[in-house]
Amino acid sequence: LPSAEPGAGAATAAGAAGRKAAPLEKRLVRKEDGRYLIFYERPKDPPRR
Amino acid sequence: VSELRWHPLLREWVTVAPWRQDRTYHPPAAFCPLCPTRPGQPETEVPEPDYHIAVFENRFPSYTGDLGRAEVVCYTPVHDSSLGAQPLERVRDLVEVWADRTRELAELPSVRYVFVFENRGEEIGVTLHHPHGQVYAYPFVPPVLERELAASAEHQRRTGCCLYCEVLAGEAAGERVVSKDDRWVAFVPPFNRWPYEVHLAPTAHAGLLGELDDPQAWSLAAVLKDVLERYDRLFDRPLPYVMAMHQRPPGAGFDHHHLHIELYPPNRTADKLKYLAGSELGAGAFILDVRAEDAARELREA
Repeated sequence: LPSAEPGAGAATAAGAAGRKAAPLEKRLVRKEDGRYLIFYERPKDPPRR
Repeated sequence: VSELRWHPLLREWVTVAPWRQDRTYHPPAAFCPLCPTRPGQPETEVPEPDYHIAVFENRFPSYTGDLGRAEVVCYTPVHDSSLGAQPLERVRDLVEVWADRTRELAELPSVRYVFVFENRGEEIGVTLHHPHGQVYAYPFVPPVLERELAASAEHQRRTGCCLYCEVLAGEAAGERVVSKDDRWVAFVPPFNRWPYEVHLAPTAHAGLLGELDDPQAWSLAAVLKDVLERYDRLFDRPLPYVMAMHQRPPGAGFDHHHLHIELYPPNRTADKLKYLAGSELGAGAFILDVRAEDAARELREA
């Protein structure tokens, strides 16, 4: 392919794809006016023993 | 609640939401409603001192209540940034958030289509500069998607093949390819309507972000980030764009639809915009100044 090499990001993804990420944690909050607000958070690593 | 009015000539819905006239308009960075709430400062839309990714109902919604939803997706707590500047891991997390919002909103009884999108840049009409996107849950299938679905359904019926899979097969030579890996490809389609329009699609047929497996989701994050970085290098300045995710509608009967993402920057040069004018707005016929093959080469070299 002419100059259609994957970019640096794609190369990084090849490595990243090997590790399965834990699903994001989801936290729902109600605002004062009744609208919802959802926080998506990376689970904290379990404490090392 | 918004009002839906039927356009009998174009046979499509127009949504009337007059309260949106009062929406927040270019606030100074110190009063950004999408930043976390800083100690001692007035409360923003996110009343906590930090967040990873936050989603909330738009304060000035186009759709609400029984009609649908309008959500804001804050990509990062950092005000002066962009989607393309995020670390790969965060873009991957956003893919998961977009998939989750699509799944959840599709379960609302009135919702017929969930649309994930981003408007970037003042040229596009952005009123808040904090990096964010939006999700609309419509009570109807929007006209562009309806036309795409009709075309792919008809093609599938006639040939037994996926129309978009054939579009991707047409990119095998690579002349219009901007970025790719084994699972996703980004290219300027031969039928582009904007000079630097780029489509991103999975090489394997899928209809929803939620159908992607883990390697496909990482791949989407990487190819999307790569294209957005190329956009900003193209003219050595942040390039405005609309990002439109074309997933299949909820419900059965849409397996023929091939998930893809469309990006439309309005620029035709570093300092000139393509405006939608007489032919485009009045007649629906796009006139283009740049060949897809030339635009793709420029983006590959950026």
